[in-house]
Amino acid sequence: MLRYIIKRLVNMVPLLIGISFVSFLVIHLAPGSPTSISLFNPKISLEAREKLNKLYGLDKPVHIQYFNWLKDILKFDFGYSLVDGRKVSSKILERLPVTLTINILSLLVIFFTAIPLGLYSGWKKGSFFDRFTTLFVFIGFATPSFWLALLSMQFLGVKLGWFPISGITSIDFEYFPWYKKALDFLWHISLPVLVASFGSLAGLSRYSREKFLEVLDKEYIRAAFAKGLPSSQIIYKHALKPVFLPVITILGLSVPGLLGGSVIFETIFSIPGMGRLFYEGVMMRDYPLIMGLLVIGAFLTLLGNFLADLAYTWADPRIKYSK
Amino acid sequence: MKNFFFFIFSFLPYLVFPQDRGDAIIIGSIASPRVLIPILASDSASAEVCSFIFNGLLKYDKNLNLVGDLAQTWQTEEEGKVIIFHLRKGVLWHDGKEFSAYDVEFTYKKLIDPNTPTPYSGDFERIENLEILDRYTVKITYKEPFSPGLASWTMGIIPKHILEKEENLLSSKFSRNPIGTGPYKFKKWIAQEKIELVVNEDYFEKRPNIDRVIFRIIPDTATLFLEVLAQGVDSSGLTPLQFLKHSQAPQFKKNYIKFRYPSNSFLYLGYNLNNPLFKDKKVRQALNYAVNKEEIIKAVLLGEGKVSTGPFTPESWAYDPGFKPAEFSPEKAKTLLFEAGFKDEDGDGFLERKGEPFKFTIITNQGNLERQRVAEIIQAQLRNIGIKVEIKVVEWSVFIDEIIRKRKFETVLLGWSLSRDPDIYDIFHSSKTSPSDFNFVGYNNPEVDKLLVEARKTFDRQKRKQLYQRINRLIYEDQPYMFIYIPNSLSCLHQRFRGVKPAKGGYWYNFIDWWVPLKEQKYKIEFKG
Repeated sequence: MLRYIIKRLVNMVPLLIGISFVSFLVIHLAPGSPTSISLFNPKISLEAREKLNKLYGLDKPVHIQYFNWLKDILKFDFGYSLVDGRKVSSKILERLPVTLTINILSLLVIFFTAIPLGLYSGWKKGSFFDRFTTLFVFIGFATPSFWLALLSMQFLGVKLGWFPISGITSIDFEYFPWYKKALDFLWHISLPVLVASFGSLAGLSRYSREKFLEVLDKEYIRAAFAKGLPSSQIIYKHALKPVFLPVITILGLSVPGLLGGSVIFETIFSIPGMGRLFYEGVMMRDYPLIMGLLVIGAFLTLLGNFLADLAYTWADPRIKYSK
Repeated sequence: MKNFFFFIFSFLPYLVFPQDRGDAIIIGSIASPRVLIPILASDSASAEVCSFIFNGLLKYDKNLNLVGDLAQTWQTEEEGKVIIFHLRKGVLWHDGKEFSAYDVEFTYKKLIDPNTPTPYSGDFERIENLEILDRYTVKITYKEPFSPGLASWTMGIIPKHILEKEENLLSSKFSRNPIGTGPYKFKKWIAQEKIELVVNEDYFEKRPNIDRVIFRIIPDTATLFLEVLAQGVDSSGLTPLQFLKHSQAPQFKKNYIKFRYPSNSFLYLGYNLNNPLFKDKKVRQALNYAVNKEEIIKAVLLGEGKVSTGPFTPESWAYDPGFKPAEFSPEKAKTLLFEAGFKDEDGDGFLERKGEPFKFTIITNQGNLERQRVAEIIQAQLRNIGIKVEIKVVEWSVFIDEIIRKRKFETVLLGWSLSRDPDIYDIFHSSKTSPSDFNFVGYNNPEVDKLLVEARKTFDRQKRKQLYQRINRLIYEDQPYMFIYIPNSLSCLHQRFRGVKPAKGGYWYNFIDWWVPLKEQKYKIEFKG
């Protein structure tokens, strides 16, 4: 098992280098350059532009630029943003906590709403509740989140004044004691979390409903009913386990997603998250920043897959990795 | 008599405490600033924040005249070749050091330093020599008389004693923790969220009344307006629809006042003058007659704009209010096109010249819905006189590198946002046509060239104005651009701020005099300024 883990980890290195090389090539092949964008201004001379290209090393051939970049990356130096000259690592780190919190909270809300909803409507298949939840989650699925966001801001924010409209903290956040800071932050992100979760209920709740129905149809469950076991015992002890198993898969798949943010969503709620950072980076052709984000994203995807694979062996005794 | 006493008493509080201090103003901003060093700030969001923290030697007053800021007085000598600035004494940087001529020299040296990524070096490279006569006097000698030079000294001055040893300004700590001489000191910057400034108690003019200025970054216009309705921001720009319709909401009417100013930008359709289709002046003039700009303004800006009559905007002193734009007349357009050889040869409803159909592409940049709509209306209007127009929308970076710099366009729909000084040499002089230059349409009129150079050497504003008005007429006659519109700049401000006096130059010029009565103050935080 240990050998397997080490092997997987070692294999990740050439994979990461390959991914980073292809990404580097692609973003440098894209037309446009960092120095052309902010400098479209009659007061900027040609010399100024070339001066900048030289300053940032953009006048060198792409493969040399890549090796220079790789050399720095091996020292965990992600370089400096071309837009504001700040360290790429600190730009990413300051955005990470918000995105991570919102994504984890949404994931929790989705899990704790969708699975019970799905199970209960599976249990009460064909009932009014079942049909109502189906309608409800599919409305969520079909509603564009930016529209729902604006609507809830208008209603819950402006009209009722229950929630702040945008941003993640109040104006005088710095002057609050710590517990008020925490509450203020939660209060600000509750609307985004709710809107983000609503759209994702459908998938998981449908999934758990179907899986639950499938399990209920299994012979050992029918046997348990025939044996006269109380239904609560059948459900909690025998029927739920197989429904929860694939949850691990979903969790593993969402690890890289936890760090990504939706641009539209973050823009509407004025959340300073990773999605906007990436989008702005691409728009400004901020090469070091884009590369930094891509490498981190690639690493986490590989890591997520790896962890999920490991978790399978733990959850399902039938799966074993030799060597 | 009773009324008289009432009158006196009602004013008494204001006599004792003429203007209450305290409170904060929350300014909602769509874009986040990038760097808070005035000589590097190429985006308007950065420049706006910098204007609270830094001072130039000169500034624009409420009527858009240049007046002294860090310079008490100035004089020009040798027909404008030399400017001597007499600086204010006793002005302190936010860290307590005194401002002096050495800071001016330092700012100048940084501006022309090839290692400084500044967009503003152009005007300063025309300086031959900057000389410090004494601690408070600077003598600047230009290579030749250069009238836009004076306005370039509105550039914020940066402190020598802090930045002297800094090799790279952009990545310096200073760029996110600036120290200036201005009415507000930098306090805090949370990326993509907000920037907080606090009052500079020792500001050389007077202590501003409002304690804090906070910029909130809200990238979506719809969200920004909802924040206005919920009174989460005090000052914000508005779209025409918000200005005209959404502002009828009771939450808005009760709490906000609206402002409307012509902006200092204009939208134009630039022709590639090296393209055989647009070589003939008559064709360009015909297109100008064929496009109904009033209709465009009505449809796209809901009427919140003005037909553009050239490269100057109404608030500029170079603007010619007597000059009328060409009227909308499809007939005149058809006549001119006929003279240029275009007619419907095969009867398909579209114009041809020697069998070649009259069709071209308008290219505009992505992310600007307004421009896309304008392009669509032009397309429809030109179809009416038999011209086929296609529209292509391209991402900004590609637009500049591939389309503009490589001249791979027939027409482009773009806007210029110009500085207050009307010098348009860089856009229309025939020497400015190399790939990175800004006369990318390839305009070349020797008379305009001569006048542009002359205007740069003329210091008398009246004479300069006449020169620019002649330039304006010549350019409009030549139509290298189809001048479309000047949009209004629409904004709102919370009504609790007193002392706001809108003038020609906007309403922000006297911000340090604004105040909020104590009982209406909203953000009451104890803090040390």
